[in-house]
Amino acid sequence: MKQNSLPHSERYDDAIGAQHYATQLGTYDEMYATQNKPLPHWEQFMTVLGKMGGEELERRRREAQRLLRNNGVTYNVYVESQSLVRPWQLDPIPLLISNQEWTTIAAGLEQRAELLNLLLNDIYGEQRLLKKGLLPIELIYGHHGFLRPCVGAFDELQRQLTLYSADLARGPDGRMWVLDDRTQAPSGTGYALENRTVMTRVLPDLFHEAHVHRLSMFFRALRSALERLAPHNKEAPRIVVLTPGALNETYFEHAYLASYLGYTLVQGDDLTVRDGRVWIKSLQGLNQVDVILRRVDDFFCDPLELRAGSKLGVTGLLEATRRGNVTVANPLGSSVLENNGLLPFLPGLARYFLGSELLLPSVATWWCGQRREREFVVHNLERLVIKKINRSPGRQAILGALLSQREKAELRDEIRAKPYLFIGQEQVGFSTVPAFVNGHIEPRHAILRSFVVANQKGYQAMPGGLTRIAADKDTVIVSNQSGGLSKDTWVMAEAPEQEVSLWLKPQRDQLVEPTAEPLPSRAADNLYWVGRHLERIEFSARLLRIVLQKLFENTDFDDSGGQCLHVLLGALTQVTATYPGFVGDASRLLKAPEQELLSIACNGSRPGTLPSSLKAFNLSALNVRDLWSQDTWLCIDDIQQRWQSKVIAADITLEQLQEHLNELIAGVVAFTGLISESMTRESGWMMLDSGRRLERALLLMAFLRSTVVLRHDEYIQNQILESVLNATDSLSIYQRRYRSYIQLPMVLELLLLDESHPRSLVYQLQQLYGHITTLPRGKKHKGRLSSVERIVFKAFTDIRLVKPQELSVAHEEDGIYANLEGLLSTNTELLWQASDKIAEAYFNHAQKAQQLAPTRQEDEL
Amino acid sequence: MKYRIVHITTYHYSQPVGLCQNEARLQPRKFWRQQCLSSHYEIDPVPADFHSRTDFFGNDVAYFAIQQSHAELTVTTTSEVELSPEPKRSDTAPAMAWEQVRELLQAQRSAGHEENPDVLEAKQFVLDSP
Repeated sequence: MKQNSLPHSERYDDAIGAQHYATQLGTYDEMYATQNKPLPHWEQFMTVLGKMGGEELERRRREAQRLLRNNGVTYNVYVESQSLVRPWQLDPIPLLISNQEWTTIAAGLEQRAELLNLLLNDIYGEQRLLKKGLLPIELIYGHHGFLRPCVGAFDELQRQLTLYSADLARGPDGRMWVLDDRTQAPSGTGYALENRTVMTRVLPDLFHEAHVHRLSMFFRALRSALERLAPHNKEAPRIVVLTPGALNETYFEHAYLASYLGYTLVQGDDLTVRDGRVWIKSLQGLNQVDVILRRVDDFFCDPLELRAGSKLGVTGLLEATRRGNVTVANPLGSSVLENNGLLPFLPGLARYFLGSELLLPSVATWWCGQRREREFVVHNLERLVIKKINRSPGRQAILGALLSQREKAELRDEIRAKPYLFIGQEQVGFSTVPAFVNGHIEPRHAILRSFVVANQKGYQAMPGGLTRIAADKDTVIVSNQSGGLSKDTWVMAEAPEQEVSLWLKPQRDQLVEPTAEPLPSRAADNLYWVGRHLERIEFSARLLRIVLQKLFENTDFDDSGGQCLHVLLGALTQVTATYPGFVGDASRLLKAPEQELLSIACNGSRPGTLPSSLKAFNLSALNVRDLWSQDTWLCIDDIQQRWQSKVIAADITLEQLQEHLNELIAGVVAFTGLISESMTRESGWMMLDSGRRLERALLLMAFLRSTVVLRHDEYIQNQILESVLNATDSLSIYQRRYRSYIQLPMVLELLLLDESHPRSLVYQLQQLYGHITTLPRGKKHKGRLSSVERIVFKAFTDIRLVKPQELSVAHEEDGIYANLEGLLSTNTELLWQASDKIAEAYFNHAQKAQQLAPTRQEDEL
Repeated sequence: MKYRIVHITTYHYSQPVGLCQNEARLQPRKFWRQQCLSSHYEIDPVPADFHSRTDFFGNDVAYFAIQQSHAELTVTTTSEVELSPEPKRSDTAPAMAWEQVRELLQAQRSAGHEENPDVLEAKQFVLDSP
């Protein structure tokens, strides 16, 4: 396609200049408006882009994708019952808005936010609008978002709409319309910020030349707004982000914002209401929460007073709010404003509340609850889009023009039966914006999601936002669920803007005390399991590697090498618990182990296999996404991704597997190193390391019990011992210590009793004990050992008190080293108990909330 | 007629429960025929947190939380109500025909027109239950 011989300057005409951009007739285009040449604020940009050339831009685009992937920016799309995690896609060409135009738009958005705020206050407060007939009662009370328990429940501060977002589109005449108001838990700010971060790295020159307004002021304002909401503790309020969890479509954003703003990310389970206050259940005990930035829909927030059976909320949250002990942002009940039927009333309400005209028009809407409007809608179905006032996941907008006569009649009946539930809206054409697709630029329909936050004087809009474009040239409807790209949005300032950091300036001589961030019990639980799964992965990989080595060494299965291999295969099954595997009546498998070995490496649906452990590891890590640094998350994601693409999807052979096992082990080691260097030695790290130590101890013992506990002939024994040392990464240490004498007592001494060897059993127990005694313990244990400490101490002491020569005493009859077996089995038992006790003491998950009232069978999300 | 009502609810749990949060609507309310002279709760074990309020429809609601381990919960409400005698058929003849009521509820008020509070309250019951 490209010819190397052409000099660079002649190639800039490579089909990405403005001259190759074909706009659509009758559609407003962002770059051209309705003229024949690009608008001034686009012109310069496009010239530079033209000089860059299609190939270079493609390279930048791919770089952007890579950065987004590395940061783990994802968006979950629901496909039936499964969810697909999709990487977020960014188009390298931003939407450009001139400063002048933005001033008008921002004023309109801020006015709208004010208006909606006043509306919200009235609906749940004095209800003057309803009493005066300025708003029909059916429109408000008939909307699912109107929550009766919330009426009169909040004071003025708690009722404030803190964060608001509006979807904007531009019609053919160039005017901006509001399509949708979002007032519950508006999403997109995190994605907008992430897009901006990536764009500044991928198109730095263009970004700086364009003097783009920064986004940090917005987030600063958000932080201030949340702090102002705190009912108590105003100097250092505890603010949390409440998320539905890792399976939610915008989970990435919840974790990202929590990290960026410095708040703890919690799920419903992490919080509890006692004495009318909200607390985080953390390892250190209960910590009071002052403000909750919620990402959970209204109705799911309180299973006691709102939706019964909701597992996403906090029982008693509404009562705690009512008593003024916590503020929820945005207030519960704010979803009543996400009501299309309000649109036609807004101009009147603007005049009533603000004494001025509504600046930003909404899409022309007719609410069918009024007779005249109803008749209009019913007689003009072909021209209109019909929607319900309640947003429901199943029901989409109905385009009247696409209906058959019979369908139209049915719809009319439906509208007449419950008219207050329906609206008719004019079909709005969205403007198109240049998008870089498939190596060239073409127009795509776009929607801009803008964001507004409350500040001390009123409201301020984010200079920018999240632009989404349609999946292809002809698609008019733009939505995240149906696929599509996003763009950064640049509001061009007149002059370069000073960079504002998110860091606050302390007063002179003020030494800010570090706040101890509580670790939610659920987070502790997940970190513990990250540690345990990590060890499983490493141990299984190392063992599998040794098995493969032995397999390829031997061609004859009857000699001692073959015997050793059989033992190792059995051990592999025992250690990974992939029963029945090579254990029991499996002589056939032992002769031809290839299938089973591949299954252990590739089959994700069998418990105990490598992919199974990798998935579990990834999921646990995802659940505490907000706790990992950038590098660490990259490493975590990499481990699983690599295995998935290079081993499972690539359908490899056993010979090729060894190489990938090396890579996997290297990845695990890298992760271990990272967390060792970047996690503070607080509860979180101790939990993770406790999980690792416990699991490593258990696996080592299981391994020894299935290999060296049985007596074998000396020659076979030696091979087994060597393999055991190899699989536990202890061979070179052994060789340095004992040179060429390989014998059971010495191997046991190294692997069980050597306190300086990081892979020995006693070392694991010592570390584990150290952590357990340092972790916070309940008040009742002051001065005495807790039950966890007691068990671990016993396990640790039992090992230390062992005399190595006793272990190598074998009984003639049963051919096993009975004392060794006894020791290992007792110790294993103790550690299993310890694991239970740890869960009981720290994870609180035994106490799952139960509803005593009948619950409805409906989808949660 | 005066009535004394004792309402006892008991829960037996198969395992001890550490935290129990409740919303109780067990107290008779006042309306044109009925006066609630007194009403109080007795809860065993004694809740650590108890708070009364009136809900959206004018009912008395009690929120209470038991924050210690327990295996049984007993809630007893004792109320005294006085009922006026049942009116005769003729006394309750409707003030207007139901067709008129329907018209009233469906009437379109123009904006800014103060709505009759009784009509306003009645209108919400025309809608589906939440």
